[in-house]
Amino acid sequence: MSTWELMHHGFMQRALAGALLASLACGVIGSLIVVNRMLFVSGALSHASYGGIGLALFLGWPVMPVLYGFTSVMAVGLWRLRRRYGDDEAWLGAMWSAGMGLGAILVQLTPGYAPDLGGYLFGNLMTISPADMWLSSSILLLGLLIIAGGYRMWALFSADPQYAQSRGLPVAALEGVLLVLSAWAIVVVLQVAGLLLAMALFSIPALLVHHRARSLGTMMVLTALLNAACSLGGLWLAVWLDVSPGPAIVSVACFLLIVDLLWRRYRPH
Amino acid sequence: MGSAIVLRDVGFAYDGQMVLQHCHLDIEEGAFVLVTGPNGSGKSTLLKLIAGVLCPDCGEILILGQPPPHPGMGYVPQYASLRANHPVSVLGVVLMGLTTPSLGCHYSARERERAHRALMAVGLAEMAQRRPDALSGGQRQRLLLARALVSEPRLLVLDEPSASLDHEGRQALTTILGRQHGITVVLATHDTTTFAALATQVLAMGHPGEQAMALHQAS
Repeated sequence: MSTWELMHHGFMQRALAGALLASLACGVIGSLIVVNRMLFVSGALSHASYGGIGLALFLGWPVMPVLYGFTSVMAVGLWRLRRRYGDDEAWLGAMWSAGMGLGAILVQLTPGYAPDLGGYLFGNLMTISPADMWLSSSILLLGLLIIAGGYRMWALFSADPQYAQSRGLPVAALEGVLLVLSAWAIVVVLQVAGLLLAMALFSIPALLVHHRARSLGTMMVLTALLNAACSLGGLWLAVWLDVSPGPAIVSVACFLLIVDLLWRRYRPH
Repeated sequence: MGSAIVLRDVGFAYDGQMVLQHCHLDIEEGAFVLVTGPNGSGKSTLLKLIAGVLCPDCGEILILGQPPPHPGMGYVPQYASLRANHPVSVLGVVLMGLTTPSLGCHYSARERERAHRALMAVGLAEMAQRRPDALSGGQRQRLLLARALVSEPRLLVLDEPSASLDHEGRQALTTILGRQHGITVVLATHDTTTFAALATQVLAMGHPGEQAMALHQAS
């Protein structure tokens, strides 16, 4: 069956829509994460989200709503810790491990057969349900409205937090909101790349665009487009090779990064 | 003329280490004050308190009659505060000076025009579309000055603006500052000779650990 014929199936259409949603999340929120040097914060949150997966499975509740709630609580907790005790990387390490440890214990305590966790670790676009799609779309739309509505503040906060404070911007609140937005973006991306590969989609396309863009808005748009191209290419590769879409999408992004590095190194002057 | 900056019994400590204690200050509108003193004497801390970047542990600060940060103030921090390799153009940096805590997505044509005028005033109009990383140290300092001036402030607070500038850069900076008539200027520097001709008052900060802070007329 060709890729085009597969597109007539509902699961494939949802896979494509999920990939494009994740591209939007990576482009807009991911750009904010990268320019605010919060990539490892997102790494800690994405790994800690395993605790949310374990909690949902243990309680027998739907995974996605629990994940959105769990990562939001973790983000707010991290924000409070950083405000109170300082911006120490050790908090990220603690959260990273604590979430994964909690998830592992809860998964083991879940009665019945051990569930297949491969989709959560490496992503599985083909299994996105319509309910999950609507939930992620609604949450992402809310996130995009928050960023678009206060774009001028986000641009200043990201470029120069100290100066932003002198202009009266609520820097502490913006930092907290950005952490929660990061948590939401991570859950959207988890469906595509899983918690182990999510950081690749936040970082690689943004790395390709970061030094070329002349505004945060341009960076957001270009990163989203590049993520969409990687997602479409990765989906095609996954069908062609009969492998999971998540690793295939990340492989396409890595290939583009290598090509860009070679171009920057050997381009004719 | 009224007071531009008033400090009443202000104290501030970093992690329990007192930097400023029992500080009293009254700077009149229109004054050009040089803040001098050795490293660690609290010059940058004082400016950050005035700019509203830091909150005092005790006491009261009034900027043009209101607690900081004040919308009528232009702040020029040390260049390191602008994130390196950030996706922004020179014009974009100046437009940040018009950002206030309000919702908004775009900058209007009028705001862009104001930003262009501010860049012209500091001689950087031709570099509007470049990234700040491509500018020299002196040009970057003038860029931050343009960002502070674009909102037409009544008070200008500058933290070590001549640090790492060559003779030409310092000259360009003093020329621009000399044109700002009627604005209260508070400028922290080790380089008093560069700005001596402009200064009306000097605020001498004590050595670290001492709490002496004396405002006197510039000679």
